[in-house]
Amino acid sequence: MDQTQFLTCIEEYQGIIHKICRLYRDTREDREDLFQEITFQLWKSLPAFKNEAKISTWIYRIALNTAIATFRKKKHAIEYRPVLPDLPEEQPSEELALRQERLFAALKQLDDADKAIITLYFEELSYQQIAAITGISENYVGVKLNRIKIKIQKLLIQ
Amino acid sequence: MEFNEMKSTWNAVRTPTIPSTEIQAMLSENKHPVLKGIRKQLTIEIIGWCIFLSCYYTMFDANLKPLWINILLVLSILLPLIHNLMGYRLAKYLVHGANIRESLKNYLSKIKIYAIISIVSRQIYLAGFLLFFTYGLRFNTSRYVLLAVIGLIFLVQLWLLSRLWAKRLKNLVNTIAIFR
Repeated sequence: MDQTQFLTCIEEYQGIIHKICRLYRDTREDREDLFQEITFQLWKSLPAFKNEAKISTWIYRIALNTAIATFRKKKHAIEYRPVLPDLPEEQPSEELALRQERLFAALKQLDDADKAIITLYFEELSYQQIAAITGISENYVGVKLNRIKIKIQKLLIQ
Repeated sequence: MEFNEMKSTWNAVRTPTIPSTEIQAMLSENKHPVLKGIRKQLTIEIIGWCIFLSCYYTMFDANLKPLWINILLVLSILLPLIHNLMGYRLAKYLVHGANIRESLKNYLSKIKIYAIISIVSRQIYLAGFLLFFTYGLRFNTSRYVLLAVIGLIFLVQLWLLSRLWAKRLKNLVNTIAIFR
């Protein structure tokens, strides 16, 4: 894969990376840094990419690995901005936006490893694919997902 | 919220779109936020230490001090520089395995060594300087007090640095434990 193909691929799958950044980082600045870090790590890992794996599976693996391995900066003070420039033009409905806020607030409280597993599950990956990306057994993926589901339900009730 | 609803909420998340020109810029090592910072620090340190080493011998009477003190001083300067270079390489390559668990395990073993070197090099750096500048001095009460204060500052620094690394390593160990 050359640089042009790589850029097309990142453009196509950048939604995945943005969601991971939103889940693992709290401030806009940290999310932008993580996005850049993930893109950089994907580029550096490209020579090791084997075509037998799906490109999306590879992106999930490198992106989650990078989000977990990088150390977070110290917490920033809350920044007030008149506009939110990184938001997409088309805004979700108020009800959907509220649901997303609630969901992310709950997901953010999970451990980094649990965040990774639930992300892959939400992205419709099979147990086999989740196991291959994370390095845990398929059976354990099922066990973990059940535990995470219970955790999230509890967090949403709080 | 039901689980299917969570899934659909997740899938409905709208994300910003970054143009490929901006993505292309992100591939450059020069634009990388962490690497850029380390490079800047390294350049400043190398220039600073080169100036120091070129004039310390005459300026601070190094010729009157034993050779081993001079060697220790040079080593105490070189070690943090080597440590920074290691940090640069570590930050450049974060992926070390075929799956997340394997990669994090390999990364942990690398970062453990880096943490030890970080703490040791800081102590050697401080000790080297202290030894160089106090060697041959005649000590009276006020100098002993000053030495004790400096020693205390070293210990506090050591404690803070060890605590920072312990926290980082603990987070990583806990994450790997969940992936078991």
